[in-house]
Amino acid sequence: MKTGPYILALALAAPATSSAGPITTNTALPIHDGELIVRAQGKLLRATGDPGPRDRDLTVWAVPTVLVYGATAKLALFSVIPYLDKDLELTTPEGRTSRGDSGLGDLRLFARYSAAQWDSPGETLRLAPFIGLEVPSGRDDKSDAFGKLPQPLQLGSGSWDPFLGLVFTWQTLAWEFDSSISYDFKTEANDFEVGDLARLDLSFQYRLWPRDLGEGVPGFLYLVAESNLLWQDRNQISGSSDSNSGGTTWLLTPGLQYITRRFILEGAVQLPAVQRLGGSTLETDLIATTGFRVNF
Amino acid sequence: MSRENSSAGSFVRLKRLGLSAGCRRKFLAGAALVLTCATSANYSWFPSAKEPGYRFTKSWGSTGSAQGEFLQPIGIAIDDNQLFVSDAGNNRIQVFDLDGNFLREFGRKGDGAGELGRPMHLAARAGKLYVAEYLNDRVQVLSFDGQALSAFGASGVGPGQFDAPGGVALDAAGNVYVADFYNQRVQVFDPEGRFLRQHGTTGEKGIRAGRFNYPTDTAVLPTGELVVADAYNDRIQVFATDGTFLRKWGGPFALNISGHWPGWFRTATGVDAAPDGSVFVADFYNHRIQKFTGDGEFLVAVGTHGTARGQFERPTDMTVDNTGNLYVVDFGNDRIQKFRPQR
Amino acid sequence: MRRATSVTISFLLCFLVLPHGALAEVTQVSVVVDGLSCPFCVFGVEKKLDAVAGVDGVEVDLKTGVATLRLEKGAVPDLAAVQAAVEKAGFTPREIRLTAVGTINVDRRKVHLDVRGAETRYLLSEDGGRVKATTRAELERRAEAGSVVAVTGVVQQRSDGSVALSIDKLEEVQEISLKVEGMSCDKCAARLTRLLGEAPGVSQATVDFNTGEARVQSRGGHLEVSPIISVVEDAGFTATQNDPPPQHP
Repeated sequence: MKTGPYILALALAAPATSSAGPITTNTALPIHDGELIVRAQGKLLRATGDPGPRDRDLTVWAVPTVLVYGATAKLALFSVIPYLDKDLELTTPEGRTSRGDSGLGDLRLFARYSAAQWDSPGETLRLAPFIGLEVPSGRDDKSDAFGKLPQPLQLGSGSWDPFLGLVFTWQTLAWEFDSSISYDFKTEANDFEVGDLARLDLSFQYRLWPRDLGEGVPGFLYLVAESNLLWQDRNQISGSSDSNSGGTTWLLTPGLQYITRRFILEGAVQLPAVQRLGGSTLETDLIATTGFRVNF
Repeated sequence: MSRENSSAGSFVRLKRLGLSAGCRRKFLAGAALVLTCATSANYSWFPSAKEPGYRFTKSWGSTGSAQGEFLQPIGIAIDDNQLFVSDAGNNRIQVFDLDGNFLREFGRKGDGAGELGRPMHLAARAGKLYVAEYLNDRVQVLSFDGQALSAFGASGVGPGQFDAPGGVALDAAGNVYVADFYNQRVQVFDPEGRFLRQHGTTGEKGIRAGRFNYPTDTAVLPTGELVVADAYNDRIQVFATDGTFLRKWGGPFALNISGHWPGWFRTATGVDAAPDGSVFVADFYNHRIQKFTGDGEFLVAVGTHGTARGQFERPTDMTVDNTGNLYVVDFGNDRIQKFRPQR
Repeated sequence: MRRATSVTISFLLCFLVLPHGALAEVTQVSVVVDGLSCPFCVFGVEKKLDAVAGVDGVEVDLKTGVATLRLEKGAVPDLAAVQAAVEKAGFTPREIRLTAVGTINVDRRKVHLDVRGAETRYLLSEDGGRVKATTRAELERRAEAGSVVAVTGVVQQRSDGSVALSIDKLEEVQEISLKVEGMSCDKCAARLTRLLGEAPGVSQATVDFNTGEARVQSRGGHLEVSPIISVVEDAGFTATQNDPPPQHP
């Protein structure tokens, strides 16, 4: 496609959903029976490394809102819906032109079950598989003067995509370690099939403050270091593989998190350490995230 | 002149900077040379108009898809007292008479024969309309009624292949000059469509003579010289019939320094050669048309920024009829405006 | 002898179980929760424990993992409910500790603590088994004397349905009941409660504004009446000692 920006980075703008714990990935920490957690993030993605001649410049604002409900002490139900604003600028014979769309994207629903749990004083280890479905609720057929927007610029994929994964969490009073592995099965819609996505995410949170834990339940300030490794398969356009898509991205993410009983405030920046992307796929510059979580 | 302003004063200031006497002399000589260049008649960086200019006559068009309406009009060509306008967003060509009356339209979205994928600049000669198609990576030849006659080009970087052809021009012999936008080159074909040569380096932007930064449109002077709108280098380049580089202009030394002064451009998206040998340039982000001699000497500018009569919002192209009337594609205002020369 | 003792105890119980309700007889209930390691997770534990019947409030200490429950007046915690609350929060309750006040009941094989003012009895144990002989002898002595004791230890539900309480600490309980006059509002009662609680030897004090009754309890300490009455008078009220419940002649 003339302006096709098959960008792995757009997969990153979709939030890796979690309840407590890491910022960009999942955790196995419990949601208590009957608990409701509301989480929202503001994410900004910038991608300007265009190996091709169009000088493409991508800006995506994403505001995913997450609702988490503890159906039982072991089973947590998640729903995530993002507000997206995608804007791709490129050079054309009539100046720098923007293509894009804004609105609600696809809804992700999933369930996480605490399969194994080892509790000891001030420490817990958890193992939780999860399974879910991405529902095509976002608009997927927007057109402009250049024709229909390429699929990665649309708000929604138009397809029902199942996904699953496994999360391991090890938390102590002084630090927390989370690791999550997941796989998204992307299916076809509009003659287009985004490549399947595999992720390995690691997160380490280290308590900076209070240095010595006193009485009661003080607020914790965590220094966060996360790693996101993503591999995406090539996109399929009308059945044939698009070499200008897919690839591997490794992001390193420093962040800060402030946690109290009722809420969490957090911020992080994902920076690409390695990007091996297919053909003329745009390279990500960074993804900046801020967010909060509230207990009910 | 006070001591501080005299050259002796400059000499003293340079001395305070710690430069040796030899260096100081060379520095001042160089500065004097630049200043001379800047203010000399033929190569003035801030020229003044040499013609009385143009007066607004009429305008037609508004945003839409009905007859006489436009969705991003890009190119315009004139032949046989008919105006052909490429209506890119509507994927069609609209034809008007010289007073702006709608005559006919043809083309619809698609990549088949007679269909158009975002038509850009065009050329009209002897009953044939040459249309550069941004999305279809080809140049299609249609009759003035819209019959598909032939087409050439395919997506790619090789000879005869395009990545968004932006404009096309013809010389008297029927050779075709195509501005190959994303490939950063201009390709030349003979009347049978055989590749002759190219200007520019495929896929590489450049600032030196003969290199381009998104060439958008082409025109041919009555002398046969090729004129290229080197859009994002903010300049015009001219080549001889055998392909050798002749001259360039647009800002100081035509080195991609943009500006709003006469003779400077901010993205030159369209170029046209009038029958009298003058060159018209669509100065996109300056919202004006500029007129030059074939040697690049500034003559006059037309238009200011706005939506009123005689104002433009990012004009992309223009053409001139035999009596000197000027027709401008006012891209951002979805309309065509006509001007006549003031006497 | 034992039968006589039992009869004695039972008889005493009749008197001792007269309306006493004002002083909480099970106090300092705390749950050690395993797995708690961040503030956000504490919310669930607090919420679930607070919802247990009889619980008035919860305070969690993250460092020790201990959730301390405040009970409503006269309430005795349902252990199963407390454990379930912690589990519903997603964590593991390791042990529940409390202090219970009551009288000793000794029979052939077992020693019980009958919680005063409630229909609850705990099976006293040591090191996870029956009480040792020496302890047993002492408990028998106290039972015979009609003592009221406060036992602090870990409670555990047993398979036969009974609840065991380990004897980590055993204290003699002494109480004085006063009739206070001159209080004009709830605030006076609250102030007096605080002042009495700080008086020497006092472990716990309650003042009931409506009935005018003030009761102070001492565990392991020694109470004298006059200093207590002085505290009341210094606060601006007058007090006279209520008759103690009748002892068996």
